[in-house]
Amino acid sequence: MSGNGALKVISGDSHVMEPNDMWEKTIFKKWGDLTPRPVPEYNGKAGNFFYSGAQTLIMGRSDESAKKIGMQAAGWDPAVRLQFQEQAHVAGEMMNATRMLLIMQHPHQGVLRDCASVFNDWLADYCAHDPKRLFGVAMIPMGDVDWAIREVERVVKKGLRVADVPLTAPADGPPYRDKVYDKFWARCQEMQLPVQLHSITGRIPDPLHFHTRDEQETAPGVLLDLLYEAMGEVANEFIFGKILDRFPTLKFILSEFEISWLPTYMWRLDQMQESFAARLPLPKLERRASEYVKTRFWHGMVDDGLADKAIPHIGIDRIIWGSDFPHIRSIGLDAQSRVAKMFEKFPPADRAKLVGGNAVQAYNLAN
Amino acid sequence: MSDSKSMGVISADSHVMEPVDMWEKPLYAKFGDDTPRVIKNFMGRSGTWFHTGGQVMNYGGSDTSSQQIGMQAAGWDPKVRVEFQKKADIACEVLNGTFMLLIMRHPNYACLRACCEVFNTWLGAFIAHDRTRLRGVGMLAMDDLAWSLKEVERCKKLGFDCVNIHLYAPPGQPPYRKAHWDPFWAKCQELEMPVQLHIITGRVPDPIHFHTPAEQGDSPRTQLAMMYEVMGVLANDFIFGGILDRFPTLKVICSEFEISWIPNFMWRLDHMQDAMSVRLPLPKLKEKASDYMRTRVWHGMIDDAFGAETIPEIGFDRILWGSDFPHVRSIGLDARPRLKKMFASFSEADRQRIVAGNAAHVFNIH
Repeated sequence: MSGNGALKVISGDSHVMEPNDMWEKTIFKKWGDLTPRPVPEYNGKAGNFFYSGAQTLIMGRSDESAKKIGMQAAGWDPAVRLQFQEQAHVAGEMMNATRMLLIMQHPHQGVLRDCASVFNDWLADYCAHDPKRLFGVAMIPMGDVDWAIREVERVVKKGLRVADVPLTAPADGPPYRDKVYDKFWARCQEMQLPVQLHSITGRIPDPLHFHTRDEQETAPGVLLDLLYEAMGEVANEFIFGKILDRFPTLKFILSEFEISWLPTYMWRLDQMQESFAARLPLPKLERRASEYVKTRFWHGMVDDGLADKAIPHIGIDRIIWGSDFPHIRSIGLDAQSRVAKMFEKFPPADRAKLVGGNAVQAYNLAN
Repeated sequence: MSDSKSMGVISADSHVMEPVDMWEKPLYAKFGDDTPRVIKNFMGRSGTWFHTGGQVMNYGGSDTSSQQIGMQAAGWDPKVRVEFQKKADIACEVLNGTFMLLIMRHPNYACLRACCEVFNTWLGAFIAHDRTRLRGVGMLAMDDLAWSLKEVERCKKLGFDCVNIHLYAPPGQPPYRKAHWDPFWAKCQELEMPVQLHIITGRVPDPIHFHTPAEQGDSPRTQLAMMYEVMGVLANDFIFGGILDRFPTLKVICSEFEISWIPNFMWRLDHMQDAMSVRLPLPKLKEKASDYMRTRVWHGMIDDAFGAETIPEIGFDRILWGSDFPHVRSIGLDARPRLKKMFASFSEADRQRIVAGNAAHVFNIH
């Protein structure tokens, strides 16, 4: 607790807003029309669009929360970001990408790697403005494992704190449980570099950027697919695929999937391992399946409406609150009052863990 | 209200085990190798499998719970089924298919429709043995509206209390939310025939019947996808697709998906409708999105470990306990003690609703 009774709040999941021309300026010559960039027209309609490689994004509304408080520049200007943090009484933020998250679905792995390097360099500069308050999350595509290892080594030297890998391995490559990726997990473990899986970096498109009526009709189901996409991946690759058994000290963070789906999910995992064992041949694990969710992952939440019921089932040490600022529905200047209300049922020591202490632990922020 | 002992327990989700040659006999001459049947060779190996049209089933382990108590015939012999019910102190069971559930993923729809007809006729004869204790769920393919309309009427005449449709409209068909299907919802509403969405009848294969190491490597993901598959159709079609608004007395039942995922799902629905609405253009609904789950849909549960914690958030009136007997992990002769333990924290009246009253209401069992 700080002196005035306010909680020491560290957001475990905030976002930068990359300059739109970041990639066009640097890699258009090499990649031409495959380059993520603003486009003035889509499907015959003039407008403010951004081509991410996988989708054409409807621009202008992603940083709604920053616009409302007149601090839009906090997305790309670290000095403004620190002003925001001061006003919001937020001690620090884990800085994730915005457009680069969606670029992670780019089907061309060469373009994607270049985009990630450009982003990582830019983010390192942004965070260097105040390394004690701005903690950068590097983006690491996984289509070329040797490159991914070189990139994490490079970005850690630049001060970035976490490696965010695509939620799913590239569609044309083996799944994450394949041993081809083991040297990457081994290197992250050796470097004590946490690995993050963030929503929107898998294979499900973001329905906020659907354009046609037919697409929009499917938006609720697609959004649910996107919000629950981590379920299958965590079960198949990280737990039953035994990545967690093979790398016992590697830290994993699930970011922006919220948490109240986890208790029933853990029960389903145990049910597969136990009740269905006779008919569902699964690899033998070192632990009960649900234990991996409780002890090997940290789980990011923003404003899960059922959090207070879910947290005791998961464990107070494993939840990382994040503001999601400046995205839509995110928590901004009202962070202190919102987290105080959200976690009012928990004793102060637990509240402190949820809104900062666990993030310090998971992301090694004390170092 | 009387206690559950005196009123009796109704399992809202039990299963028959169809005779494996049920479809081969009447349909093989017409559909040849597309016909669901026992096969003795698969992937170059000798053995016994069941070809459903959508998958090849590892056949023999589906009814372990009845095998373990020496009552395997309860799957196909109504007399033995009634004996089982008496021993288990169960007053009544709502009976679903087993093989027929998996046959719903058959890609040859003409064959599938014929399979449904054969199954429905057989199940009609099964339940006719004791209509008080044996209640039936008709199976309806949904690739041909005119046929579905005719078959739902036949299901009513056969005495069924419910019809089970494909979890999603089959590929090539308009999604359920489209006006194309409105005559079907209207007919079910008019007939007071609840519409059931049962696990395994969607697009996700059943990983219990995976054969190769490559398939089995994806079993956990597939199993989870199957268990949560109903979320999309509820959200896209029944709720935001407007079916529940357009047909205000249509009854919808989600069967065997358990229930502890629902509170989180309801929160997500409201989140879409409220917080995300600026950026997610959704149709305007008559009610709060989550309220449809609380007031229009019934939810089947067997032994959800978080059931007792979850039920108050959904509503005591919406939960239908089912034994899943005789399937793997189902509840058999131990139904009474299992139920007592599972719902120990509830009042007798609430317990009564979950284990009998709600089923009596939704299936019109008097």
